[in-house]
Amino acid sequence: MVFSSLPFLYLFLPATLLLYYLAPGIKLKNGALLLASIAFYALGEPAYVILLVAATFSAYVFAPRIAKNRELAKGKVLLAISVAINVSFLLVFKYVPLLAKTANDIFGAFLPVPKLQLPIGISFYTFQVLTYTIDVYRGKTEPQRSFAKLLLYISMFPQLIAGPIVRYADVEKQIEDRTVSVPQISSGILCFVCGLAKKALIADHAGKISSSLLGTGAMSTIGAWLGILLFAFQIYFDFSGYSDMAIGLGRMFGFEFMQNFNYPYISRSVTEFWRRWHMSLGTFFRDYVYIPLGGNRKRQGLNIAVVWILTGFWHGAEWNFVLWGAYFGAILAVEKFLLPKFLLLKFLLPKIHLKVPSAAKWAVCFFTVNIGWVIFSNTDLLGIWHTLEAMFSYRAASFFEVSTAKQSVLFLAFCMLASTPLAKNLATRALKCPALMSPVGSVASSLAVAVFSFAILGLCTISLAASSYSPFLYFRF
Amino acid sequence: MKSKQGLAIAIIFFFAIGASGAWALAAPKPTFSDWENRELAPLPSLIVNGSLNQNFYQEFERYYTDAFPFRETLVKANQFLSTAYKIDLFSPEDEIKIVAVDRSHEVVDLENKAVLDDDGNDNNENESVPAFKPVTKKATPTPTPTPAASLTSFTAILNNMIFEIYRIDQKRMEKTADQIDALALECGIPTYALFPPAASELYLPSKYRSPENEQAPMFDYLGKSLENVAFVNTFQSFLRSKSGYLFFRTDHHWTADGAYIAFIAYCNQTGWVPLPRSDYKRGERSGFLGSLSKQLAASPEGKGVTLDTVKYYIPQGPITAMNYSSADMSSGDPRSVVIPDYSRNTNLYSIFFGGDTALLHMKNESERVAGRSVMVVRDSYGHAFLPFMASEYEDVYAVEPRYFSNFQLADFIKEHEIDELLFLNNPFSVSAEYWLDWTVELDKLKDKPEDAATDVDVGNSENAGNSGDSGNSEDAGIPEETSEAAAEEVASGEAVSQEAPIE
Repeated sequence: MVFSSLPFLYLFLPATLLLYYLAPGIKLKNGALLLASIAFYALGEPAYVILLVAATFSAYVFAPRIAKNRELAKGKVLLAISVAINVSFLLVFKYVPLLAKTANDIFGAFLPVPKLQLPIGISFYTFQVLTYTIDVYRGKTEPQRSFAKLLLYISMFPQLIAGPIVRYADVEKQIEDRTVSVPQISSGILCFVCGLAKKALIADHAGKISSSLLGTGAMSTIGAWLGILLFAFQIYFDFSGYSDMAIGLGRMFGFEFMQNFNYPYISRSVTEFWRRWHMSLGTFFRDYVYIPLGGNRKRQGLNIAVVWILTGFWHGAEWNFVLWGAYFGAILAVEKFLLPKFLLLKFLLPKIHLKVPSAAKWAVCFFTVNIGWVIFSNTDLLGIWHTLEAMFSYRAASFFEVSTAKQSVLFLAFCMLASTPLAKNLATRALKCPALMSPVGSVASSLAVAVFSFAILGLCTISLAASSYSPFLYFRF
Repeated sequence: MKSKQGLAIAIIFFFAIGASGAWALAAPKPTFSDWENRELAPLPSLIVNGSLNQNFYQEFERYYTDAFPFRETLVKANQFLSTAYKIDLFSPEDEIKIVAVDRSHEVVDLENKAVLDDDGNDNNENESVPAFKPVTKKATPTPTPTPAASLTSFTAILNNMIFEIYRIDQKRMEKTADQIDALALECGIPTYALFPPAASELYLPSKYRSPENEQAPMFDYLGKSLENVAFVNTFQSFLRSKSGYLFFRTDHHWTADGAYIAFIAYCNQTGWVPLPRSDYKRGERSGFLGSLSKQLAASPEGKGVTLDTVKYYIPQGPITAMNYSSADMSSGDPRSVVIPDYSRNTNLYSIFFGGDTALLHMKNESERVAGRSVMVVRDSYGHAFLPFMASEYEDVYAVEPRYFSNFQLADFIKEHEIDELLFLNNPFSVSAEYWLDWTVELDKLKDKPEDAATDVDVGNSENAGNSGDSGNSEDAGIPEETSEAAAEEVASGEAVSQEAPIE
């Protein structure tokens, strides 16, 4: 089930909220949420509920034993086994078909290529299980005694299928006890509605135009650039919209999840971009892979390579994602090791005034990220090459491409502005204006916000009723 | 104060989703959409064939969305609001307006009673970007839809006519040609293929098209590459009669006049002299809002397009028609060839046969055509074409591939002793994926003796009408004028509807 669908908005969500708010006491509330979450997953993936429960169960069994043997070698071994079990689920269901196919292609082997449907959300919940067992080993958190509560953490429907990757340690206390306040609910609603708009009103349209331009036989220069720019906005609004909806829904049930996107397209370096893009994944790899490998202290170059290749591969079981990760790893290494040396040059030649303007830094970063999307959006090398070829040589545009480009200028400008904090800052400032501090003004502003969210919900409903179905991009990861 | 602000949003939001949700549950559920002319998705059952329905939720979502209160109003509101995405600051006065991209087929093929989606996912598992793949496959509806989602480049309005501009896919076209060729070889009777040009090919200036939309190379390819099939190239005939009313302005089909041009070209190729068109009883119905305009019904651009008129020609004589749902023709329902007082104005193209048929059999008891039989493998372009065929054959069998996943064409032809085979499809089906997915076991064919192929004698463009072996020798030698004359007739005011021709 996706959030941006009519049955979710008008059937599943109201029913779940009703059940949840009517349930007295935290125990029953947890029960209601667990029930809803399992139903949510089972409706989409009836067969794979077992896998989700099995992953949780293995963590449930291992965690107390790991905790008991924290200081001992045995603890390490138990942790390794537990991690291996969970990672193997991911390997088998996500990567084995690709690995078998590749082995057949390269070595002429005749391995059977299993046809497995990827269980939705496995990439996300496997990582959540890992944060739990590893944090238990590290003593950051204690094992959960209740299987139901652990299952609630893993399966909680707002973040189950596309993140953010919530750490057990962050929600442990909230699972045990939480209250939900009206301001929290209302901010959750606003967050949810904005996320829904990002997905249904912006990402879907960008995706439609983008896919009509990319991947056709004869791509023109304009078509390729426009297609990639629209793809960049599609993937950002799609994914960050999903995260916003998850965070918003979480708040409606009294949970606070970490922010997952922080306006990545305003970044002025790739390092900054990755601190703003899919933050829960970046920090996961930092804390659970990069630092344990030695971080900045030893073999930093190798560590960066490992982390970025894994990051790329996490995004999909195709080799282009590995290339995509390696591309960013290499650029980050350049930013880390090479750029400071150029700054040294500036130090040595103080007479030359060398200050790179922010706009130029932003442009270089945005350009670099978009080249990344070319790699990301083509599963085969030839497709990447064709797109780059069209982008960097002159190819005359067809009537359709020229016309689409002219029609898309305003939309692109809107996307650009919508991916900056401008609107949020303006709204925050407007709400702080003295006139709105008076009792009348306050009522007026609260009504305005309510009407705004109602209008957005209405527009999204119109759009969802019209478009048959358009799943989230990040579903397949 | 802060909590009050929150209260307003919470109350409005919860009321909105709760009340609409309750309404959606309580409201009566329509089962048919007159507006789109399609069955709405039914409520799925949880258990199918004794096991859990794995696609339950996908089917349920489709059902829920189809039955959502005021859906039609919402869809129209979306058509209106969507224009906000396409504001063109640079050339707002352009004569041509692009109104939809790419996925317009979802609406167009609603006539096929199924929403199209990318099926055949399994076959392309490793070719597509995983990020773009639908989460779950939708249930396969009946009839199997032609997956054509990526076939359209765009839809545009020019001079009061709506065009769909199609993409020619070389690979799929080659596959189609191979499939037709293999089927013809297997059937072993004179076989013809007719794919008319698209309306855009005739009426849309070439500056609005790109090479991947051009059909002429496609016709050349088919003419050259089909070995066991005579390709009926109607391109020139259509060009000559282009001033006629050959395609609907608001629908993706051709008119009966357009179909007649193709019919004459076909008769020329088989070497048979058809009845003059004056022998038909003719009439017309106005006020047809076709499939293409429905998708724009509420948008400002769509408002200006004139409604279409459906002209029909009723074949005279002792003709009956039956529609069968299975290849053994065990149970059938009678159909009228043309229903002049067809009651549903929403899809007047169904005036022919009352809409889609699975396996149609038309019988003509007239002496003139005794012993002549033909098998037509067709889609809805056949609706307007088949009435002409009814006058010229004792037996016309017309099968619609979308209704049969595995039709034993050769066996059927042998059983009913049919002596001609015609593939008649819409202009763009050539490069649509799997429009004809009756697989022929090519390996089996290779084992057949060589002369199996040479037995097949078909006329082709060069010797049209001169083939003495086509079984109609006394009628062979049709002068070229037949087609010219017919084309003239169509182009002339007499045959053309009252609507001004499009130039």
